[in-house]
Amino acid sequence: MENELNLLAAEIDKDFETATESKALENLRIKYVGKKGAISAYYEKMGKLSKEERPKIGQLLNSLKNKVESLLTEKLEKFSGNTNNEIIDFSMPGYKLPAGKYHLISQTIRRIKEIFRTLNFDIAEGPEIETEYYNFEALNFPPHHPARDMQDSFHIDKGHVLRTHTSPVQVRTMEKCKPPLKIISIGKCYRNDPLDASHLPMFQQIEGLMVDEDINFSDLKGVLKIFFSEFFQKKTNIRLNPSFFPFTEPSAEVSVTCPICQSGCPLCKKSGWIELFGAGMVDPNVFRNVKYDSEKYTGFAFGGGIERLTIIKHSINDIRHFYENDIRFLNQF
Amino acid sequence: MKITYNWLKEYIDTGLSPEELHRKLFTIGIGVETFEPLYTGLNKIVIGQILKVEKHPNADKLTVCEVDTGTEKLVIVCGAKNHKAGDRVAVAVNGATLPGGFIIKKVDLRGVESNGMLCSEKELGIADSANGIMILPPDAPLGMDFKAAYGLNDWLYDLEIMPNKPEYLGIIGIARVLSAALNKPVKIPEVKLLEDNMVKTKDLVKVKIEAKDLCPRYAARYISGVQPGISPVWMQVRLHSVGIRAISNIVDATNYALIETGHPLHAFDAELVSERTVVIRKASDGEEMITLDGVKRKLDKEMLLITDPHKPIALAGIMGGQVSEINSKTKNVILESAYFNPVSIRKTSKRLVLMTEASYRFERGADYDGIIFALNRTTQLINQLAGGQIASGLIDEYPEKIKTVSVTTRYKRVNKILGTNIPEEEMLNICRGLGFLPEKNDADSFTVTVPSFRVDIDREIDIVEEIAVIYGYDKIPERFPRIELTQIISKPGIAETVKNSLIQRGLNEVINFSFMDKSWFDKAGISPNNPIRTSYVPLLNHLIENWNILRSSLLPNLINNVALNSVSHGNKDLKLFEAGKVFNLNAGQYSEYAELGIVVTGSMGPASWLQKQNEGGFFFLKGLLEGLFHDLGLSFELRDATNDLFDSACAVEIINGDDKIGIIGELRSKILKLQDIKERVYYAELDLRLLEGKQKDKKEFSQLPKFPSNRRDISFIVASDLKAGEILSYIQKGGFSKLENAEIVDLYRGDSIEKGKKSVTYSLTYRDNTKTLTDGEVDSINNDIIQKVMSIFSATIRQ
Repeated sequence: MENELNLLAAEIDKDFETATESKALENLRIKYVGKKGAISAYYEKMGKLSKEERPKIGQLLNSLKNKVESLLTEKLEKFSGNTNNEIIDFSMPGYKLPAGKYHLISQTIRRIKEIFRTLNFDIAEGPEIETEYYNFEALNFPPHHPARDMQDSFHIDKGHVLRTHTSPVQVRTMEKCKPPLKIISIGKCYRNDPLDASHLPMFQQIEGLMVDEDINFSDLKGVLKIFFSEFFQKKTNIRLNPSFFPFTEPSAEVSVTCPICQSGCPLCKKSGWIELFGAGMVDPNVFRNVKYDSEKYTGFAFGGGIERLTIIKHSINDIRHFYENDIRFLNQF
Repeated sequence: MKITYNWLKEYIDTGLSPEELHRKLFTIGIGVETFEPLYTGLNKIVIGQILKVEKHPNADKLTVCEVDTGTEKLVIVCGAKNHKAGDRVAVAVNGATLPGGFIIKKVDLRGVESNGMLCSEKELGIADSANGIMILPPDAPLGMDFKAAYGLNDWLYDLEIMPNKPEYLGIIGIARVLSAALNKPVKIPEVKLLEDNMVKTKDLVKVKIEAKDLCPRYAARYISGVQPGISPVWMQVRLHSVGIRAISNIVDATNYALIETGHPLHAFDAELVSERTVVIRKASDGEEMITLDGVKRKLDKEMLLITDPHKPIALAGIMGGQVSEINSKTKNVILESAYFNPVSIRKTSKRLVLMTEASYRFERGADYDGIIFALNRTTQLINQLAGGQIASGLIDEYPEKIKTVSVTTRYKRVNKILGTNIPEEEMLNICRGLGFLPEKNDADSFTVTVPSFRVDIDREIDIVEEIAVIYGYDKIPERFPRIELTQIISKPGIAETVKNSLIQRGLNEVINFSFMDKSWFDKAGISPNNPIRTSYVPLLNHLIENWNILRSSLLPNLINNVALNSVSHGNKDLKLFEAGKVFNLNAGQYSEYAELGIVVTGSMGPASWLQKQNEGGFFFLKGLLEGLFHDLGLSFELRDATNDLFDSACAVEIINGDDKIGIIGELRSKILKLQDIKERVYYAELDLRLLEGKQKDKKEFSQLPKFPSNRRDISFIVASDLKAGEILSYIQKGGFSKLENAEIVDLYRGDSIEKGKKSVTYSLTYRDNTKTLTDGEVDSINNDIIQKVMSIFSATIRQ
């Protein structure tokens, strides 16, 4: 019997050597230590052995059994998780669970809202089909003023246009609420322009308004500086140049230090500055139209294009990308 | 408006370099669109004198000239005919460059060596055409660099003038504001006219204003015996550098004065004005005239005309008439300088779609007092360029004097609005610099008289702005406002929650234009009573042909998105949504409200070696809606529907409570084929208006179960046309005790199932919150359910 056991030991070694997958291990477990396995069978035969033989064979069987079990554990560990019995080819691609994306313009809008919410600004809204009164008259555009040339609008009927800017929301909000007032409004605006690399018949604008008893031009500069520094996530200087808008006076064009370059790139036309917003102190005529006392209250307003902010932030070269909705574009951001 | 550095320099010595001036213009509110050096392609051109002209020995059309350039004598072959010995000319010597990159080299021209070129205006790039070479005046400085002699080392500024600042439409106006900003004097050209005292303008020209409201002031002069011709080089260069074509000395003089003074003037050939009588009147309806551009214009009674007793001779303030145009035979000139009503000019210009340099200025408001200076200055220029005698005196019809404006300003108000501490004396100085003549009232305020060239000023706030501009926006400090914090009132609408939910589920948001093409309805086979077709909002005007209405549905644009990505770019697996406004017109009322549109096509997940592609189709889309409604804390039911948008086999309405809130289904292939889409596309649309306010933002906590659940799966075989959901709904609502959850987990039709039948597997979960259920307890309830379903729905159990 001792001989037989020695042979069995050799067979075990050979079997385990050739086993290359966990299924084979299971077969070996059954073959040797299963209820009807080879080693178990010898244990059953133990009763027939002499007293002298018994401890020796018993010891031998125990060691065989231990050997099988430790080989099983060792090999199983080696094969674990790899049921195909292959070494993993880590160069195969992983599974890309697709992520949904906010449209890039929505991302910009969300970011702007977040910044102004932290500054305690509220968010106001208004209709896109707007009356000529709110779009022009209430904002101090006289009926035949040449400034209306700057606003080539889509007309719906005699009294309605697609709003050409978000500024009507200023008037609508002031009619409803008393100062102090701190609001922004973001939304679609329309101008009857062609569709090309620098024009969009529909674009989105942000509008801001702050009114209280002691709000002045230097506050406007301060708030814009905070906003742009937050938006571009770097220290940004601002520069205001005189401009003209019927609903603000004094009025300004707002430029910021180019967020791309240090000293001149094509984006800023090598000037180091990029013009982004229009702004100014709310014109007393606008206050008069909403029955605010312009002697008591002063305020500032500012506005700018969401697409332009986005173009600057992401170095996009063609404004048409925004509304084509090519997923190769949308998925980049 | 274009100006050049050198031209501006004649009126103010700014002491700034061209680059510094560029920046300075911005700070005073004059935008510069382009700023560039002029004539950079032109180099090594000198003023020479022709000493000798001989015929070329081998070519009839060429001459051989000996030219003195001041430093050397050159032999130059020339192809022109208009030159003779003694003429001073512009010589491009060897190594010279001309516009377009042309380089002058020594060449052999038919056996004669030519050492340079005698240039024409066109070759020098200072005119668009030329007759022969340019002959310079005899006093042109011999040997001098041509560019230096005629001021061609210059810089061009293309300015963007704000509509409220017509005074910047003339160089003198710009010089005036620079003078205030830089504290340097303005040099206004001195005008001294040598008048012929024998003839009086009054006796020669009659002016009659019949439309005083549209023409408050009209001035004129008379110049006789002029000699029309080409303007001298300096004038040609000046005009050309700011983009104006030189025409003839008289017209050039008015154009020069236009740029200089900002005031448009018009010259008439006096012989073509009947009785030398000018009548300013309104046109009659249907009256016609041919303007200078050769176009016959049909007029109406609101348009202002300059006429003689028989015919219109100019469209007032916009364009002259062909009939009285200055021409090569003109001898006597009537020169007009007038002030027209801005609104009238604007209306006429718009109605005739005719915008000119003149109308552009008049509609913004001309300087009603400056017209006399402009008249005299132009008379001087004509006289200087074309000779003639100036009749003495001028006509100035000014029936009702325009009132000057005065404005009172409080010192404190200025600083309150700007957030500055500008001293009172500095404010007064700024006003003086701008020509406002301030007078102190008391300790608190001052009053200015607004000069006639500032049409934009009549309120205190206007003065505040003037002070701010000249003081400098850059000097106003940055401050963070001290303001009361207030409660935030606005709430993010349901659209935000919806977007968030769908993005988390892996959809891409798209944003489309709010427009669509109304002809799409017919092409797509949308019936006239489909709600998206019954009440759309048309646009009165639109540049882009097929964007003629506001979108009444998100669908057409979403189909475009599918076509672009799938058909054009081969991206076949798409999951897109848009949450945006659609527009309606009902009973004269416009409404705009947010809709949600979702399109899915192709595989649910990305193609991968790990997972087979799986087209979820309708049920993928339904699952997205289920997830969305779960996030909103809401539920919906589906109901069969018919809709033109959908294939009749897959058209469903979405119901929430009593409202039909949307539709879902498979898009009809007819609609998809319009865009060459061959794949199956599923679409769902929700009216977010009807869900607004219903969503449950706050979710209540429910206790986690302490005892295990027990699950049973049952497969019923039922008639094919029975909706699986009906059995589910029966089980859910049947009041069976301990039943925690029931759902459908499988649907099977196959060989082992009888024809006309299907097998549906329901998974039921049982739980008692107070103890662990035994198998026996569960079996008893489960069997009860099985028996009832079998009898109610004629179902059998699939073994």
